[in-house]
Amino acid sequence: MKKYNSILKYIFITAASLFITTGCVHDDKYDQPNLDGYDCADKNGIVMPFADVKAKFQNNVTYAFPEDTTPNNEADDLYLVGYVSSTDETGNIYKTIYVQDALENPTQGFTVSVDAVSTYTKYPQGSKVYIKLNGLAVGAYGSLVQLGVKTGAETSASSVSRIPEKLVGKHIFRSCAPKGKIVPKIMKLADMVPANDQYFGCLIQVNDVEFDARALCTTYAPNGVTVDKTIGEGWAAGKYAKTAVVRNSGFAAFAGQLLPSGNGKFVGIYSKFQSGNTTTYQLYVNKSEDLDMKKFPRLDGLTEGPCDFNPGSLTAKTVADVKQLAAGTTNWVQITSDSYLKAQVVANDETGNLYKYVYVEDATGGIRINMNKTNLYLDSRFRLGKDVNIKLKNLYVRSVNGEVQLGSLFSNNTQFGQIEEVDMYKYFFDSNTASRPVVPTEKTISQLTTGDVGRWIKIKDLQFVDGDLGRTLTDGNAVTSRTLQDCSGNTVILRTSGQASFGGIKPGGYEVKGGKGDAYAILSIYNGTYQLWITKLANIDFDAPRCDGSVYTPIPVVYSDDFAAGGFSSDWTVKNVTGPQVWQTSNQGNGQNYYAMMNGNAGGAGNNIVNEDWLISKAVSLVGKTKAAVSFSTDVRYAGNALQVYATDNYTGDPATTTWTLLPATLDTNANAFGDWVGSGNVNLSAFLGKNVRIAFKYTSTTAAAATWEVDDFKIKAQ
Amino acid sequence: MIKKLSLISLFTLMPASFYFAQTTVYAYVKDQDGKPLEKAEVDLAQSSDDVTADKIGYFQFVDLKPGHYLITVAKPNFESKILEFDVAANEKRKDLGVITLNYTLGSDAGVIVIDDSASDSEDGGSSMQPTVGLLSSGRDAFQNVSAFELGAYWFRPRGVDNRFEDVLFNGVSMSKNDDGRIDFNNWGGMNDVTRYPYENVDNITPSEYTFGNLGGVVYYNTRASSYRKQTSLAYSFTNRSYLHRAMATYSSGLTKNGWAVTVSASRRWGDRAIIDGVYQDAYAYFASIEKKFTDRHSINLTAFGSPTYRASNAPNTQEVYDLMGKNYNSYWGWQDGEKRNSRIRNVFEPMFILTDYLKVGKNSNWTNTVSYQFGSDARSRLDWFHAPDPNPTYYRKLPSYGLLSADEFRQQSQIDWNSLYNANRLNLVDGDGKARGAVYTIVEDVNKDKTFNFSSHFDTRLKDNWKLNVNFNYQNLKSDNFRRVKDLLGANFANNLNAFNGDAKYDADNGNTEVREGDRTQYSYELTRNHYSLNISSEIDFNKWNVVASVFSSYSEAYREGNFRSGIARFRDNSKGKSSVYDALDAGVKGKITYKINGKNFIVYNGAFFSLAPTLNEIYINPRMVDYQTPGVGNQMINSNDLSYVMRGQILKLRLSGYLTTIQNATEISRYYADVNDGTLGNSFSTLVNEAMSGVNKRYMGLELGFDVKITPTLNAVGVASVGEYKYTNNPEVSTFDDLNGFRGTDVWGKANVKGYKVAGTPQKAFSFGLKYNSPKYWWVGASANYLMDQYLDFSALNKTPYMYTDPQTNDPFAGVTPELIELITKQKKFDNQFMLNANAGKSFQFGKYRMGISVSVNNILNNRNYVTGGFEQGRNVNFSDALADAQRETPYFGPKLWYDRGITFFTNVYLRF
Repeated sequence: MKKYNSILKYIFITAASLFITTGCVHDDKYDQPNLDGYDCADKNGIVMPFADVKAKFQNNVTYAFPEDTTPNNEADDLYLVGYVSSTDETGNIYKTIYVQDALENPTQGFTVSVDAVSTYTKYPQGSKVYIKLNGLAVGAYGSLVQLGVKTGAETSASSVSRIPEKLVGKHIFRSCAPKGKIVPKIMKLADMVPANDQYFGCLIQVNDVEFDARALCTTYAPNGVTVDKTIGEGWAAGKYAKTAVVRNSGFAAFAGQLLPSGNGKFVGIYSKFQSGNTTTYQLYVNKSEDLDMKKFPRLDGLTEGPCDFNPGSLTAKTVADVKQLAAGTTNWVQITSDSYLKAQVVANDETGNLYKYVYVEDATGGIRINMNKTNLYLDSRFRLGKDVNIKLKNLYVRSVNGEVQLGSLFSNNTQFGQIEEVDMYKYFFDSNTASRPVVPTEKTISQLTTGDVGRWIKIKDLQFVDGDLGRTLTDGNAVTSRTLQDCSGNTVILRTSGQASFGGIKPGGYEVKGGKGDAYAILSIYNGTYQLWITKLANIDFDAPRCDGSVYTPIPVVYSDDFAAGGFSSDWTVKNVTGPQVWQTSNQGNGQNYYAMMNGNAGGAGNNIVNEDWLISKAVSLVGKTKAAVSFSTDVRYAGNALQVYATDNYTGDPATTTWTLLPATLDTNANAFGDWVGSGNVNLSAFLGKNVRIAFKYTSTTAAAATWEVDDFKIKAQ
Repeated sequence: MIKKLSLISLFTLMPASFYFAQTTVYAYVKDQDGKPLEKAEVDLAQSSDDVTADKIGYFQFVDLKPGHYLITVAKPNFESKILEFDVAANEKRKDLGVITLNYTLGSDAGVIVIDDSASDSEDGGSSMQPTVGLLSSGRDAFQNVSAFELGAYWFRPRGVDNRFEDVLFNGVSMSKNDDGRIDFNNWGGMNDVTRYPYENVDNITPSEYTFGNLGGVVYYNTRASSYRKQTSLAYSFTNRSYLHRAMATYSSGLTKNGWAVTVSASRRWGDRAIIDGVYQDAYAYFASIEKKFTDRHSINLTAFGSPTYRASNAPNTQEVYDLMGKNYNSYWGWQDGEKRNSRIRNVFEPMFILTDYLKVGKNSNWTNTVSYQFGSDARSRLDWFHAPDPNPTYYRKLPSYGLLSADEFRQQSQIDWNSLYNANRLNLVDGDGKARGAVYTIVEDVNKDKTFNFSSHFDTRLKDNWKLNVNFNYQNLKSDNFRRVKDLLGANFANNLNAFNGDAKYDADNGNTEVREGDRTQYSYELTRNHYSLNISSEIDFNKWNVVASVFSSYSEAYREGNFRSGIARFRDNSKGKSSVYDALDAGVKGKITYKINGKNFIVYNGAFFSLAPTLNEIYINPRMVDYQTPGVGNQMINSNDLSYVMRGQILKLRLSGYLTTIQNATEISRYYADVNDGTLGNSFSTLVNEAMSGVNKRYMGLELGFDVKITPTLNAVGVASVGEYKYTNNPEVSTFDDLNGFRGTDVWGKANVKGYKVAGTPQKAFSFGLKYNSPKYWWVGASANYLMDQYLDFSALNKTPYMYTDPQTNDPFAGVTPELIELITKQKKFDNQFMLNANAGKSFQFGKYRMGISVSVNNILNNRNYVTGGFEQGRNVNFSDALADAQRETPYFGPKLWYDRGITFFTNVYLRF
């Protein structure tokens, strides 16, 4: 027994120690794989010269190369053989592989459109590639001839689609030879003429060029937005002899870097974009290190890098200091001191309600800054909540209709206005700090003072006045006033641009909210009257019950017609009383949507005809309703009688014998333009409750004047 | 023999026999090796008199009248034994002889769940942490079953997760300061020396050694002399995350000259576990040496560590499982003829503990411990720079996305290491011949903690029935965290640049952005924490009542010190250097009241009310980049009460408990890799999202029933029912931080509409019924049927915010948003109920002084692969229309990522002890 035990013990110990010492597991150490010949091939097919491949694209119709019907026979395959001239490692070049026919001194370049990113990991710049043409197609985009595939889903006969990612490896073969060095072809901007179009896709170098003043101290591109910057060469008579566009992607890794501000060498891919007859020569940067543009002075005379902000020698000013300069005068005042202002951007033009200006604020107040540039919000200097440093010398301040603003002179220094884009680099400097929350100054309407003008303010518990309920924020594309009131009955004007993303009445026009809530806005002033300007609809998110405790709910629509189908349905009666012209529908001139239209002009000046024409709706029942209204929008062009809007509950079939009630609807008054649609607001129909109501539009014209009236978005609402 | 009787036996029992002079019945309790069993409980039927065996295993009943008696002798980790005897009329003393208790075997079965590799991944979120219940068999049927039968399926009693549990080694808490969780890796494989905790309290029951938390306390004493003198050898074979385990332990016992030594070592290894591409190699070492100077004074030095190296398995969307099966793992690819896994965890954090044991006066003990733990925990992953995500399951590669067919997906379903090396090789230099950085690399997230701990435990017996414990603890943690280049995959160097953020420098003060293998990259920061706590508890024992009260107070201060200044301008001033100090003061009280109805029936009440300071992980929303504190972070307030009825009969043992726990003002951080875009970008990037909910309120309530019936002396039926409801009771605030968008606070997200959502990570209802046959011939066989209900998916808070469907321009819902559609995209996923069958069997043999045991346990015999063990929602920055489109897709691109149970698993063990 004992012996048996010790045997057991030894077996155990031996087995255990064997296991412990020899049990084999991954050690997490690996040799580098031998990758010679990995994922590469040198093809022996029929080589088509670049020019021949491009020439297949004729008469603006895509050419598809035949499929490879003999997949085992390489010899009959068609190949384009070239060298990758681009690299998409930074993402500025996107889903495109550019190739050229030689590493150095190319005679041809080409553009290959692929549905794949980071292709440089397989086809780095300088790689020799064999592109198997069988199954691919030659087409064009923006008149640039390129290689892709024809799927049949293309919208135009001339275009090709990107080569799907999984086919890329089946069509583009990297040679097993080591990659070479692409020596950029030296060109001048002046050489960018149709005679050199064969170089599209080549890597080129342009010497002695610089980004123009508009681009100074800006980044390559705002995040996610593709933009064009301009480089110029030569300088005469105050401008560049020749310019070209450098197109930068907001997805590029270097998008957030500042553009080089000096003069020097530019290296990029040569390309173009053609729209109609306009050809734009475009250059694409592979990576920002390729640009060597540091030399000063520049062609435009700038002697040093302008983008560093050094407040050391400058006097700090406050907003109040700046505003004080314009006190007591309506003239413009030039700022002459070497000073600067550091202030926070509290409102910008992101939604288009503010246009070509921003507001900045510091502890002492807020001020509007005018610039001759749109989309300021994309500029990292004017992001909401950021501090911006402003060099003040040579800027101007002026009290514009009572509001002191910062700007510059234009029109040969005869008028106060916006700071030109080419000058912005002189004044605005990115603080490179994080955006801070914009903290509103809380006020009541009665507490507002001129010192608050320019500030981002909050007024609690406001509502739209009853008369504005049911209306959109703006009448058409014009700047429109609506009235806000507090529960004590104090009112303040809300001004909104029809160009704002939430302005206009169609599409995307927003009906004002009928509740009560806190308003956040810039306080502005116009000849003594305070005005509020919001930057997004959430600034007037009035969801609480109104001051009187009522909950405003929009009256439900019981009948509507936006004439979208074209022509009048049987719901409408068209009555031609006088004159040859009649009510009709149209979609001309006002976008694609149909609307009702009446025009008493027979074509041309002095050709006005006497007309009386009625457009009469069907009868809509208001039986059992307690509230009712009609709303629609109108647009008028050319002088003439105003449109009249009537209602009746007893239409006889003849307008002349019918008893009509004239409705006090708000109509478009700007006869100088189409497109500025005006909402009528909710026009009260309470006189017709319990009855069947018809609405009629009565058009009249004379030989002296005949306006064009357009009506749309017709709604009868009842509850 | 009398001389050796402990004082307690003499004082408590002798006088009784003197006064009543009736029959005294006595016996000795010993284990299989003949060693006395201290503290065995002896329960006399039809009587309220329970006695406990003393240090030499002796117990006696002194006032027995003539009659027929039944006693049950029980001790944790041993099989209970029932004895019947008769007392005659004029018998003065009756000797029952030696009662031998057998070890309960099969307790190894639960332990291996701790080695689950899924929890190694950051993707795991909070739900994949084992529970301490697995550490030892508890004292009642409910604890046993919930640990070993249900615990194998991630059941957590009362819904309490690992963060609320405590494990102490000689008074030193093993909870990690960064997340409050216990890292079982630190003593993985040391099963022999951690088999029998010194103290093991459940739930909120007060402990003698610490204030504890919600989820019980397990206290290990590593004192060398406390281990039985023996040599133990064991070998196990399993198919879980490893294949083999070998373990050897030697304990000297206390020698004559006062020395005692215990050493233990083990290795767990294997590379063909159930999940493809998972392998493991883990060693463990343990050594403890004690010198006893006098009967009143000993010093013990313990050192242990578990160098562990382990590969992980990926969670997948249902689409991927449907294509590839449940054993699919996307983390590996072929290289060198081996399955190379990109996610390797390498952890070794040895610990040294010096403990001084001092007896003071007659009734007091003073134990002082200093400990130091250091080492490194590194988890690797693939990284890429200006390149597409090489993960084969990236959503654009899934067949549902439409680019690849199912077959094409299968062909590329593992990592293509050659292509990664090749991308680096082709781009060693740029077009001008200048060296350029790696496209693909393997990086490691490394955590190097240095923990110094001093703890002092003083206990005294103020009266026979009145105990007092005082515990003081000081802990200093320096936690160094950084990412390290592990493998350049053939490249010359890697770029320490943030490809997510315009190639901004990660380390802006350093002109050199080139990093090589072993270099720190991307982030590097140190967290420091000092923690002081004082705990006083007392227990008073009356005839009918037993009362325990425990109070504590603690103070902690923490700060971050960044080593890298962020090249992103807006984080410039919040990334490098020392942050402000975050301090927190905690206090709390716990109590336990036991009312003894009689010797078999008890009513027990436990109550706890305490605050809990946030962990480092909760204080800093994204310490990798900035020192921003999580908005709204603060101490959570915990209130927990339970009431139990306990019956301890010979035939039936039963516990029925009801509990109600509320947690208020909790901060919940989830960190997960998700495909994120910044709202304007068409591309999305897989990046680490740090998501915080603050001011979270939760409520856990339910009933627990556990019973153990002896149908015959050898056949037991054991049943458990746990019916709980664990849910969120408010709508907490949400903030996030990711590389692409930086910090976004509640002004962007608002609140998460999660009121009524269920707490994930455990089935909320579970039932188990088992039968076990214990042969007197030292073998047993058992089986259990388990039913798991109401398991929910861990949700992403930002998917539940109004941001999802609110137009930021108007602050109102987007056009077309209806409550039904919101419900469709935000409803919490509930998993199907599952049935699981387990069985185990074993036998032990005795050959003289050699004892051998063999056991096998099989879980999930029916091979049910539909049980979800963990998972999380992918938190994408989606707008309503995208989210709706995805929710309405038959196979969503961004469905939840899940882990499934591995199906039938077995664990066999054979040991030899002598």
